[in-house]
Amino acid sequence: MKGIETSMKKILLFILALMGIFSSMACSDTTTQGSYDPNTTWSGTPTTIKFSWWGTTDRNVATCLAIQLFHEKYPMYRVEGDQSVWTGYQTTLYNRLERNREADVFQVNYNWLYSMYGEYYFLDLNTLDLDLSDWPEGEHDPLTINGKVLGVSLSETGYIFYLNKKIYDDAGITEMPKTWDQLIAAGQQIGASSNYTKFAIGRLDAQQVAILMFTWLSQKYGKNLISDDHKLNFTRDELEEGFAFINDLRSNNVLIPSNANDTHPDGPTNPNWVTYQNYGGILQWNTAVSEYENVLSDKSNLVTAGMFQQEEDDNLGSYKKVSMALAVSRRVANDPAKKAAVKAFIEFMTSDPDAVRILGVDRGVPSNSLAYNTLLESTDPVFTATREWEGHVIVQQNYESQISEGINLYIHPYYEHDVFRRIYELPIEKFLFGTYTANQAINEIISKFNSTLAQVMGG
Amino acid sequence: MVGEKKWLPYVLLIPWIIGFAVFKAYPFVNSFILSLYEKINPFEQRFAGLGNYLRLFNSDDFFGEPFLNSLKVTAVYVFFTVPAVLTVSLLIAYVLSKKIKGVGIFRTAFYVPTVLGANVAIVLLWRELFQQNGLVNQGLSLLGIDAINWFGTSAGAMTAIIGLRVWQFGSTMLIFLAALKNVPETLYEAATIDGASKLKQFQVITIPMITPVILFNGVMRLVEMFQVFTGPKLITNGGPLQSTRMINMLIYEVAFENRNFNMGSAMSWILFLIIMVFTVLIFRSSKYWVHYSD
Repeated sequence: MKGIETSMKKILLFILALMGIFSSMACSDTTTQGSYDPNTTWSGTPTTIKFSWWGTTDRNVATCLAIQLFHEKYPMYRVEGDQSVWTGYQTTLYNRLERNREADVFQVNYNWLYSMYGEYYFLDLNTLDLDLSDWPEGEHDPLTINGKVLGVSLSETGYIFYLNKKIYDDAGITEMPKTWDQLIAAGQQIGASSNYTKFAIGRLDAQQVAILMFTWLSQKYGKNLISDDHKLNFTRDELEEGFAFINDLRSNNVLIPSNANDTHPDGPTNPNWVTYQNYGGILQWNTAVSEYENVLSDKSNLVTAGMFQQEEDDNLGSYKKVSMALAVSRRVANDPAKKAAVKAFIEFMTSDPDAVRILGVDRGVPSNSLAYNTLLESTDPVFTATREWEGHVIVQQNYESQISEGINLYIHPYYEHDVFRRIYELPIEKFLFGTYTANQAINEIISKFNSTLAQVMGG
Repeated sequence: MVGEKKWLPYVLLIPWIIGFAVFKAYPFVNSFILSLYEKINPFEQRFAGLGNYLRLFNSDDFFGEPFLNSLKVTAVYVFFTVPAVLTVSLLIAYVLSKKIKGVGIFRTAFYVPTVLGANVAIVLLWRELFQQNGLVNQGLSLLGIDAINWFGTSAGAMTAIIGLRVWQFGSTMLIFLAALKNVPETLYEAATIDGASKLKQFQVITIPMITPVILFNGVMRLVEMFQVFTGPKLITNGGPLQSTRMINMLIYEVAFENRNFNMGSAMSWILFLIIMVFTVLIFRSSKYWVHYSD
């Protein structure tokens, strides 16, 4: 009998231990960890809000910890975290929006405000009385439609190059390239020293080649891709030059000669990047670099190259945009208690020093100046030493430098629209696969660019 | 007493009727209505008549161009996959219908791929098999054949996707197997006495005797192949260069990712009409080649 009792106790303990493990894994809102001493007491029923986001493990863990801290600081509020991976997040969000089942606060991409009819689905944040004075001037202009602020900017991002230093070292290149010409020379040297198995950059997909070419053209001709009246801003001759430049990169061992040679669907897990390390670089949003960095056996090999320039002293050509924003469900408008909770939560996530330190640069370098300064001054860890931060600095420098020349390279809100992007990406992809000549690709882009952009902008 | 229970079958049918009405009939009718409207914003749509359908057949339209491409791609897939599945499954079934040692094991082994289905794990496995340094190319190199860039060319990618479906011939094979077992042995005995070879027997006895089952399998596979989704979505995601972007993938993208249910419904209805036309044609033609033994 005693034996049975002991066994039962063991089983009970085991079940309790399992429950403990699961509750801590599931972004618990009840477990208290850390040494924070709550300075507020609360005895009423807390107001519960839901927050959904996408992210990888680092971001998920950091967000859960921040939510935990929020509960300690604001015991009158509870936040249910709803984390998911990137794939399918937008479709799920859309489904929920249509059924009034979305979270109270949710993470969005900047262009979704436009492509997902944010004006109809998201709360006008003016109604929350948020103080947006700690963000750079004009930061929320792209997030404002018809006077309605539809998202709170978390960070900005831009496409820049990162290089795998080992490949350059192995080829005997001691100084990393800064200009396009130096990049081409590096490609030749890397090719010659590796029997043409390694490349200065490697494989870029159509989206990346598009931004590369438009950046190069912007540097050269001082124009954004899309004009203020929403038209293609480059002429046929200029586009011809752009395609010829891509060909130069391919024939000089900077890019692979044909994308048909490597059709791996995912950049960070591509064996030519991870295992064989045949590719010497990536062109990526500075907020997404960690995916490529974390898979390398020696992360210190990844160095921030920024954007290659026409001349060594230039600092031009970074397209940028708001990387991520927090949007709020329009249902919150009818619930004063939730409104207060949502406001407190957004302020906490974007500017509370403790929360900011926990969240770090997992959603990019914060655009809120209080948060930015908190991370800037942090010594443990040193956020400014991250590839995200280095990239952010270069993107901002280049963007401002281009602004000073009268050119605004802010990414058009419909540039990444699912329908519109096919208009330039598909011809470029065909060109990269060798099934289209440059002329065929240009003809297709020119013939459909303006009309399609007008159609998608018209809804 | 018996009369009192006449209502029972109808009561038992109610769950099915509810399921059919909610999940089949309503979406069917509603999708047609949706296809006649165009979206202005999430809360407004306006009547467009056949406007959506006309756009889909305009190759300059940004819905029409991918739609026509997907129709072509799907047609190629169906054209090769249906005959291939029927042929392979019939031949395997024919062999397995013979009294050979360990036939039970073989039948099970050949049916396993179908049990596994086009689930994500199998599809991802298939994708790895056809990579540049995958098992398929390694096998080819043992035969002295150069590695094939399966996913770098349209033909290679399509072949890999067709291969996955043909590999899953189990259920078709099982139906053929049952049909072959029903062919009277006496016919073969008589043919053997008359000196007919095995090939001749297959041509003049086996095939004609199982034509009703060939018709059934043909129609079922045709309908199924037109609606292919999982394999191409996960193996190639429509690439390279949209050459494996099947019509169902496009419908999914337009309806669920772009949230344009009006255009997605119009595409679905065109797909439905195409399948219906082919099905009717096959049934109409069956009087010339299907033999029913009365």
